[in-house]
Parts: sequence; structure tokens; C-alpha cells
Amino acid sequence: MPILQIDHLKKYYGKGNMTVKALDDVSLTVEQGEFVAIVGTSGSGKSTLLHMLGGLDRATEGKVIVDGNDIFAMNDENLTIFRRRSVGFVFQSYNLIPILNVYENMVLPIELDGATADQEYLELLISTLGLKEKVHNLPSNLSGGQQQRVAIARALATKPSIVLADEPTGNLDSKTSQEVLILLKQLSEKFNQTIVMITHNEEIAQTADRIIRIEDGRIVNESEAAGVRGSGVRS
Amino acid sequence: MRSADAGHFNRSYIIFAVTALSLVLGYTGWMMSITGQAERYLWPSVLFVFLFALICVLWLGVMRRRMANIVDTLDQIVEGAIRGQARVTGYSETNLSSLENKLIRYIDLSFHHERKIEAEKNKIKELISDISHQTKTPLSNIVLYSQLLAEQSGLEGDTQQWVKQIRTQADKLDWLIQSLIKMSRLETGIIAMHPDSTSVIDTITRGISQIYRQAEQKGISITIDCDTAIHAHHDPKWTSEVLFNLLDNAVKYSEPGGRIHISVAAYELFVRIDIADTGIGIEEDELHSVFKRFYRCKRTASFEGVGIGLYLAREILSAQGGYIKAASKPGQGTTFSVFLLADGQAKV
Amino acid sequence: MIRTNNRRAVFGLAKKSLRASPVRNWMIIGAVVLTALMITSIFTVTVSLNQSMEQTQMRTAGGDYHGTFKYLTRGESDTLKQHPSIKEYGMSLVVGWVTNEEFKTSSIEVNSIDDNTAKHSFVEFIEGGLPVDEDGIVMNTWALEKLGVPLELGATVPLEIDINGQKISKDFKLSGYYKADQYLTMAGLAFVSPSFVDKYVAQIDPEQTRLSGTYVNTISLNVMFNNSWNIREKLDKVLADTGLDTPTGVNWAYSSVSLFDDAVNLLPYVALILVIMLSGYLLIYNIFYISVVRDIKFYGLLKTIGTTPRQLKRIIVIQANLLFIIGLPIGLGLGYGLGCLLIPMLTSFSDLTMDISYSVSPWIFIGAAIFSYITVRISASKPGRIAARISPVEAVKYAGVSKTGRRGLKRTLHGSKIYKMALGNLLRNKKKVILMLASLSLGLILFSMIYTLISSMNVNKYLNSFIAGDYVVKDEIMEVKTGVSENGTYALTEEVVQGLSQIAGVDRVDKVYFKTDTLPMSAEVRALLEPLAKEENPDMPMYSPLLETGQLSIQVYELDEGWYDVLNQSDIAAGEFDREKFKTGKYVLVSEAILDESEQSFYRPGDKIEWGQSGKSYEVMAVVKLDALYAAGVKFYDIAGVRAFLPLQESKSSQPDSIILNATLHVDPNQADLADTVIRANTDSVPGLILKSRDDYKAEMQGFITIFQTVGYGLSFIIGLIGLMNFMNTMITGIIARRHEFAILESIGMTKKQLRKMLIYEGLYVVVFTAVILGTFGMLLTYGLIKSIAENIAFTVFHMDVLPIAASIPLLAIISIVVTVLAYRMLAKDTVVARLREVE
Repeated sequence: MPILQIDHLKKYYGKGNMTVKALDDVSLTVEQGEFVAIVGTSGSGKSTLLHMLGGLDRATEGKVIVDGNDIFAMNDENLTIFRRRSVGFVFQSYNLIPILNVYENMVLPIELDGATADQEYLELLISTLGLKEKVHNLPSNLSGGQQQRVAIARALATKPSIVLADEPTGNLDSKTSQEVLILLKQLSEKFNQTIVMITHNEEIAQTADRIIRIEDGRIVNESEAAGVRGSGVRS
Repeated sequence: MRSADAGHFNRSYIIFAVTALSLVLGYTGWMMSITGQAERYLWPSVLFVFLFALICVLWLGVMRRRMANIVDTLDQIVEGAIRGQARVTGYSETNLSSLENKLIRYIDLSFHHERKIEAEKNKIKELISDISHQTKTPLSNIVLYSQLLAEQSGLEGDTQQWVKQIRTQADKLDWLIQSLIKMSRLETGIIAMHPDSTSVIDTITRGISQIYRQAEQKGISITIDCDTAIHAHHDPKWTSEVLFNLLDNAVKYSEPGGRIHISVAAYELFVRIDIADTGIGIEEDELHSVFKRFYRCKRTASFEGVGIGLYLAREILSAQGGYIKAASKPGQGTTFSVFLLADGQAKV
Repeated sequence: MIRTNNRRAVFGLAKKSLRASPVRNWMIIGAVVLTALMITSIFTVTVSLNQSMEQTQMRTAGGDYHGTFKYLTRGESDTLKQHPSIKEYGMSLVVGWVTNEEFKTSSIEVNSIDDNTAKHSFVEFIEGGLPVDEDGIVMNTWALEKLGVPLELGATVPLEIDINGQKISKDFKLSGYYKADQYLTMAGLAFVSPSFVDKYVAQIDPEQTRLSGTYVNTISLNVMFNNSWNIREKLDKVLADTGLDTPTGVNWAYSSVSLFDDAVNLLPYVALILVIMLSGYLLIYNIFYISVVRDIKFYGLLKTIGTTPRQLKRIIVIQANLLFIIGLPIGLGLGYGLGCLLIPMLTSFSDLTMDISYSVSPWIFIGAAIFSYITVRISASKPGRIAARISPVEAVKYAGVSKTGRRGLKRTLHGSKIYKMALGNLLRNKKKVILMLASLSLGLILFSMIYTLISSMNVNKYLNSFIAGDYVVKDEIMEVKTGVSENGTYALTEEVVQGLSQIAGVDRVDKVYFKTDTLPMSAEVRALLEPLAKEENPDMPMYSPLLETGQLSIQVYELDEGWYDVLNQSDIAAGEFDREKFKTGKYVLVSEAILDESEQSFYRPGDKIEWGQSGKSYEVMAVVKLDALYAAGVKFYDIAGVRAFLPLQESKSSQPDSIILNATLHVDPNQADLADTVIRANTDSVPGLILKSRDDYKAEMQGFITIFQTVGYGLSFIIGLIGLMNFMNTMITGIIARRHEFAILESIGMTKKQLRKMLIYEGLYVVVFTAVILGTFGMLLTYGLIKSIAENIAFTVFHMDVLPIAASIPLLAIISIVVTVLAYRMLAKDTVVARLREVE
């Protein structure tokens, strides 16, 4: 069963002649455990697509089915809970909660769900992402790369089934980018997480199993990347 | 467990009921004393007590129904999660929904791990077939060239001896690799057994035929005591391999002029084949170890071998539902007992 | 289903975000304190006033017993007090009456009471206690002073006591005394010992005295039940249970009107609380609203990572609750203090005389806390909903530099004129502007109304109802006692007045002559009174004696010409007052009469009226209202009686048996100081004269005006302050929230000066809009509302002063400019690049 199923998704802004087609009839299937990169120029609609997948925005038409659930059929409350439990977001601008320290940022989604954090796993995340020294720091005291690693830690902390990353390395230098990406990949592999990543950087995109090109709201080309996670997983 | 729980619940019910009732009665009594025991306050009080009790009972009923519902839902959740069906509770702000989410994730991950292990197994399988495939040609080349070398006239005495050694070692390596392949195939379940009802004497004969020459050379006699009518549920090809291994050992560890006796007995569940020799025997504390992979007895260190024959024997037998055991007295000889499934037993 | 336990996480978030904005917190705490303070003080005042009233009533009723069984024999009282429903009781035995000369006018009853009765009847001993010895006695300070007995235990008290017609003279020894209660009737009580009773009273048969009506040796059993519900019923039940039949009495203090019984009494308090809640709401709501809008990205982020709308709402509510918890005790404490300060001020101009008691009822605090909490909760709910409704994409997009940048750019190109840009910026968030304008204008309009009302208060108009000239001289008898005594002791004579008029500096003396007479009842009047007589309480007949005699009482006044000016047009109910015609002496002004609650005129202009035996009839020139010429007349009215005003001709009364009620002196302002001393010396030399000057009345009035001003200005100040705080808050946060936009504007070449100018324009637009609202709607409201209020209050003359309102506009403008400049300076400290980055 595919984890993600996008069915004739459309998102229009404005009305009449002024209509901007951010997404124009996009269909896509992502299998569990896959690492998909969505590539496109700025304004091509890739961010809109990602927002739709995470239930941050609602579509004009079409369906997004995540793990068998039509997410647009859910109300705001349930959609938020879905996001909290099943989706981990990593943004270009990190989007950490400025008033919470690194650890609190990480466990917030877990605590919001009324659960207690899996300490062992968190420690693994923290040490893997090299945040041990920074656990009690506020985001404002961290460098960009560190903040991005915290964002990744937060996204993975709930062990979500999908990780949605919007230009996760956009604000990082190329060395840090590579590091962050590898970490993201390793960790998600461990927990069989599906990754959908937006990037405009072809080199970054090569890390993925599959590259989807999007232009003017449409998927133009889909190609298998040189990723190692191949056929064996997709069954 | 269940009844104990129920008893506990009843006790707490009683405590609550008594507390509530005494509260209401106390209140009523108090009100009565304040209002001067006027009768017109009595009936509202009685009505109040009655309604209060009624509400309590109704509430208890509702709670019970609720609890039953929760257990039901839990059941559905577990069932659904195992079968990979749609979520029962969806995404809502409840404990159950949170629990379901965790359960589904856990089951997901378990499946994932299972698949991963499977994939690793497959990799080993490929590796093994690759090894056997890739070593075959170089090995046979070594054998071929050593033969050619041996046929070359005019070799010095020592040289002749070395060439012979190369030949022997190459054979041994070949055998080792073949054994390893067999072993790993058996372990990973690649080798498929085809057990069938087959005559036991045929299989024994097949095993002996491979060792007979060696035994004869060493002056060791082999006797068989077997009813030709005995059939057992086994794969004759692999079982004869087992017997060959056992006989090979018997010949190897017996002094020239020794005896090997094979006897077959049919039991209700198993068919037993005993192979008794008059060899050096096995120390008692080593008996349980001889079936281990690469295990070699201390006293056999001077003999050739890699310590894989008995291990393979056991693997093959257990793959078709049989087993093997050994009994020995050091210096007097060893008896290996092979148990094969009796005919009628295979269907069970 | 069991909800997930995420309270801790949500609570933690709320606490953290509280910590992140201390300034806002202090503002909200301040607002909470203010709201709680005002509500608490109102609660304190109402509850305390109510308690004071109740206390006063109990004192007037003579005790706090629930009820009394009267005129019992000893046996009967023993039976009754055994009844299980009686929780407490006290006995009081009638002994007789004090017949000393000193107490001829106000009799003193002699009783023998037990400790319980003393305790519950407000007999609070200054010294000593109830008598034990046969010659022991307890009296109050007033009676002792009247007797001339020194206030010390053991002093000899010579009394004559009438016990069932038998007179006993005895020298008692004072065993205790207590303070005379000003609210109790002067008919005091004296308490003797049980041994005195045994000796002189015990042998008298109570059955007999019950018949004869002296009730000597009968017992009143004062009882307390479990509670004060249905006292009448409980008394009856006790009687029914014991089979006795005696008169009973219910303590009316328990059933009488309290402040809370009549919703109308509470209305102004309710209205005041609502106004406070509204202003508190505006303040707290605004702060929260702005903080939510400012932190929109924060809330959007929370939603993105899985904070549900409900949890977001909770975050806001928890913040509000925590701030409320901090602010509440301060508000309650200060409010209680303020309330206690206000109570004496308020009681001082209430017509009820009462002991001030400060209630510490927990209901004050519970009520105030609840109302304050409601205010806070409502204030936080809407911002909570806004936070909950935030689209997460919005919040994520906020990070994007390009989009906001482009938006700002477009605007710049569109309206290159700075003032146009400012207007555009302002109108971008219409709701916020409307809210700000509403709160600002509301405060100013309220201020304007209260100011107008206060400035409309006219001291002279008020004084005219008490004093028409500079001094008024009255006779003690007429002022203190209600009735005319024999002329012989009357101090205000023709000679005295003559003397006063000859004092240097006294320009004129206006005399008022007064007499009471009877007026035959006309058939019309009879028809009016008869239905009233049927409804009256037979125990307290009011109209039937009048109907029996067929006579009404009439107060006849003769006025000097100076009084004509005091008569206002608004005092005249019917007809026309013509000075010259009136002077002829053929005409009379007749007042309306009090009938129950209403006032009714018995006459119409043109009617003839005739009273007493004079045989002279007058034509009614005009009917005046009951309180017309109040300063001229006596302070009492007769039931269904009228007042007739005649001119005083040649300073001589035309009516027989008239007395000079008062003389009003008009003094030459130049010689006022000298005249004052002489007038005072003159009146002091004649015992029984009372002199009151205009300044005395003014001083009395001033206290009242001060209270009114304190409360009024205080209220309008607070409301104005709230509006101003709103205004400042919105300005500052508006600037802070747009700092990124400003940075963009600056990066594309707008100078700091231009930016500052634009912001100042924005502030000034708000001021201008406020001025427009004030100038139209505000003025209209002030004029319409306050005029109608002022016309209904006796001592106000509507007077509209636009100046303070007009002055508030430039003040606002200055505040707006200062706030803008300060806020911008704070902002402009960082470099453009730093500010551009900050938002990301």
C-alpha cells in the first residue's frame, strides 16, 4: 500500500482571469520508505505541493491520501493531530519555537499528544545530530546548521511515518548541507520513514531515490535517482 | 483475574454508594432540623434522595457501557493494526487514538524489520552461490594442472611427493567448499528436501557404495542387519549422504581390521539406523559437542577433516524431521543412531 | 473517550510565552488590577451599605431577635421556651414606668431582663452590668444625663416608679450604664434586678394587668430560631404545639427592604459594573489581540507542528488565567481599601442616617473575583479564537522575504505621497482601527459627559432652596420641633427682626410669617381621599381622621417681596405668577398636596379659597409645586395638607396668630465682614435663635460636590486612560509588527525621516478621526443625554463646556507624536540588514 497518494490535486489562487494555478492536476504515488525529491524552480508550485501533503493548506480540487486517510476530509482539529502524529516538517527557515530550548522544541509534538518521550530514542537523536552540548540552548543561540539539525530532530522525534522537508539545506553551506542530508536519510531509514524533500539543488536531489520535476504546477518528468534504496523495499 | 477485578469493582461501588447515600441523608436530616421537621419538606427530600440514587445508578450504567466500549474499540484497534486496515479512531485528541497511532507505527516497523532480515538472507544466498560458482573453475584447474604435473616424467622423488600433496590438498579444499555450500544452503533453507516413503535398505546401500572401497582397503568389514521391507519417510539422496558421512567417520577412526555394524529397527514413530564401529570412540564430555560446526575432538587432531560432517548430518536430518544421536565408549567404539520419520508419521 | 493528557505541554507553552513578553504581561496585570479594583470597590460599597442599613434597622427595631411572644405569665413562658425549635431565648419582664418630672415628655419603661436579652438588644455596657441587688439599676447615658446623675457605678439614682398604678420612690444604685442609641426612640429603658421584681412585682397577677393594659409582671419572650425564614409561621407553630394563644411579634428588620430586595436599587451598581467590565474588556482584549497578531508566526508554527486549535485557545486562556491570578489579589485588596474609603463619602449624602459598618463578607471578594474573571475570560476568548484559526501556511509564508517585500514595494510606487501612504497603511487593518477609535472615543465621550454634568452643577441653585439671602435667622423651636409652641417663649420677635434690619450693612430683611390653620374639605377633595382611606393601615390611620373632621390642615405663609425672585418658573404647576397683581393681597399661591406617593392639586387658578375663621377669601393665582419656596417654609408637610403663600403687606401680618418663621438678611457685600460680626453678636444675645449664613450651606454643599467630582473625574479619568492606553498600545505594536516592512522600505530608499513622518501621519489620522467622532457624535450625545439628566436634577443648570474636550485633541496629538517618535527610535537602532534578518 502506498503511503502517499496524490490524486489530481489542484490549487488555484484568485478568480477569473487572475487565477494563478499553483498546482494543476498533479498525481503522484509515494511508497513507504521512499525518499523522493521534488525539484523545481521557485514559484513552480513545489512548496504548495508540500503544504498540501502536510495538510497545511487545503486543495481546490483533488485528494491527498496519507496512509489510507483522505486528509482534506478531516477537520482542522483532526488534521492538526494527524500532522502532529504522522508528519515531521523540516523547513528552510527552521521554524523552531523561539521561546523553547532545543530539548523542549524536540519533545513539544510528543508532549502535545500527551505522551511521554522515548528518552533512549531522543538521546540517540541528540547524539547522532551532535546536539549534546546544545540541549539547553535557545534556538537564537545556535548557528544555522545547528538550528536545522534541531528541526530535523524535532521532525523525527515523534517517529512520524512521513518527513516533509522544504529546502532543508537552503540556508546551509554545502558541507553542512551534505551532513544534514546524510543524517536525515540515515535516521529515516532506521525507522522506515518516507521522505519527501523539496529542493532546487540538483546535487542535493541526487541523494534521493526518485526525483520529481515540477514546473508551473505540473509534474514534467520523473526519474529514478542513483539512490541505493531500490527495488527491494518497494514491494 | 476477571472475577477478582469484578469483586474489586463491586467493593468500590459499595463504598461510593454508601458515601453518596449518607451524604444525601445527612443533608436531608440537616435541612429537616433547620426547617423544624416540617412535613412539607419531607417529600421533596425523599424525592431528591430517590432522584439522586437514580442518577447514580444511571451514571454507573453509562460508565460501564463506556468501559465496555473502550475495550471493544481497543480490540478493533489491535485487530485493524495487525491487518493493516484503516484507522479505527482516526486522528482525534484521545488516548485511544494516540495509542492506536503508536501501535500502527510499531507494527509497521516490525514488518519493516522482518523484510529487512529477509533481504539480508537473500544476500547471503547469492554470496554463497557466487563463491561456489567462482571457485569451481580455478579449483578444477588446480587439480588438472597438478595431474599434468604428476604425469610429467623425470620428477625428482621430493618433487613427486609435493605434487601429490598439492593434489590431495586441492581435493580437500574442493570437498570443504562443497561442504560449506551444502551447509549454508541447508542453514538458509535453500536446499529443498524431498522426503518420500523410500526403502531404507536402498538408502543404506547407496551410502555404503561410496565408502566400500576405502573400507576394503583398510580391511574393515561392514555388516548390515536390515529388514528389506522397512520403509521410512526420507529423502534418499541426502540421507545417504548422511550415512556416507557417518560411515566415512567410522572408517577413518577405526584401526585396520575393525568392524562396522549397521542395524535397522522400525519403531512406531521412527525408523532407527544404528551405525556402530570399533574405532577410537569419543570422550563423554565431548559427546554433545561433536555435532557442532567445525568442532573437532581433541584426539582426532591428527586426522584429516574440517569438523563439518556431523554438523551437516544433523542439519539434513532435522530438515526432514529426523534426528541423530551418538553413544560412545572411548577406545571401544562409537554408535551413531539416525532416526528417520516412520512412514505413517510424515502426514502429521 | 479519555482525552489525551497534554495539559502539561500546553501549560508549559503558555508559561513560556508569558515569560517571553513581560511588557505585555505587566499591562494586562495592570488592567486586571484596575478592573478587579473597581469591581471590588463597588461590591464593597454595596454590601457594606446594605449591611449598615440592616444593622440600623435592627437597632431601630430594638434587637436582632427573630420574634417575640408578648405578655406571658411565668408559666406560659416556661412552657414556650421548652419548645425544640427555639434555639435561643431571652426574657424581659415589665415592671412599670418612671414618673420623674424629667421624663414627662419621654417616658422610660422599667423592665427586668436577662443577659440574653441585653446581648441581643444592643445594650452594650460602657461600665458595669445587669443589676443583682434589689436597689441596682441600669440606665442609658442619655437618661442619666437628664437626671443629672454622674456616670459612675454606684451613683445614686432617685427614681419614682409607677408599678401598676402604685407609685414607689426609691434611691437606686447605678450598677451599669450603656450608650444611648441615637437610632432608638428616646423612650429609654431602665433595668432593675430580679430581686426587685420579687419584692415589688411578683405578687401582681399578670392575668389582671393584661386586662388592664399595664402588662406589669408579664414577660416578653424573645426567641431565636435556626434561621430567619418564615418567622411568622414558626411562631405560630410553637403556639399551636404548646396550645397557648398570646400575641406575637416578628422582628420586622428581618423582613424589611434591604438594598438587594429591590432590583431598581441595584440598577446603578449593575450599570457601573457593566461599564467597568466593558472598559476592562476593551483594554485586556486589545492587548491580547495585538499580542496574538504580533506573535502570529509563533502560533502558526505551533499549529504546523501539531498544536490543535483547541490547544492554541487554551494557551491564550492559560496565559490570561495566570495573569488574572497574579492581578486579582492586588485588585481585590486595593479595591476593598478604596471601597472602605468611599463608604463614608457615600453615606454622608445619603438621606439615611446610619452607623457605617464595613462588611468583610466573602461574597464581596467572590463576586468581584467572578466578575473580574468573566471580564478577563471574555477578553481572552476572541484573541484565542484568532490564534486558533491561523492558517499554518500563512505563518510559514511569513518567513518568506520576497512576498512581503513585493507588497511593500507596490504600495510605495502606488502612492508616492507620504500622507497617502500613511492613510493606506492605517486602513489596511480596518477592524483594529475601528476598535482603537471606539475605545478612544468612548473614553473621551464619557469624560465629556461627566465633565459637563459636573460643570452643570450650580451651587447657587442648590443654595436657593435653603437660603434666599446671605443670612437666615430662625427660631430653635421651629427648627427642631415640629409644631408651634406658645408665643411667649418664641424668640424670633418683631423687635429682634427690627434690630437686625438696623444693623449697618444689612440692606434688606425679608420676613416670612407663618401659621397653621384648617381648611374645610370640599366634596372633590373628599372624593379623592375616600378611596385612600379604605386602603390605609387601620393601625396607622392617615386619611380617615381627616375625613371624620372634614378639615384639612393648611400652612399659611406671608412673604416679603424679596421672596418673589426666588420663585422659579419651574416651580409653578399651573397658572401664572404676576408680581404686581400678587402684591395687591387678593391673590394666593397654593401648593399641591401629598397624597400617598403622588402630589395632587386641590385647586385650579381662579378658584376661591378660604380658611379658618377669618372669613376672608382669596383667589388662587397659581398652583405651585410642593417644594416651591422650600427655603421659606417649614421642613414638614401635613398629610393632604396644602401651603398657601400670601404677600406680606407693609411688613405686617394680616393673619392672626402668625409668627415670624424666619428672617432672611441681605447684606451689602462691601460691609459684609463688619455686618457678619454684628449679626452674630445680635443673634447670640437672644437665646433660641439660630443663625445660618449662606457660607454655612455652601460648606455643606461643598462636601457633596467634592465627592461627586472625585467619583466622576476618577471614573472618566480611568476610562480616558484606558482609551489612551489602547491608543498607545496599538500605535507601538503597529510599529513593531511592521518593522520588517519598514526595513524593506528603507532598503529601497525611503529615508528614516520620511518613514518617521509617515508614522506620525498615521497617528495624527487617528487623532483626526477621533476628533471628528467627538465633534459630531460625542457632542450630540453629551448635549442630548446630559441636558436631560441635568434638567432632572434640582441643583444643576445645564452648561456645556467644549473646552476640555477640545483641549484633549491637541493633547492626544502630542501623545501620538511622542509615542511614535519614541517607538520608532527604539526600532531604528538596529541596522537595516539586522532588521531584515530578524523576521526570518
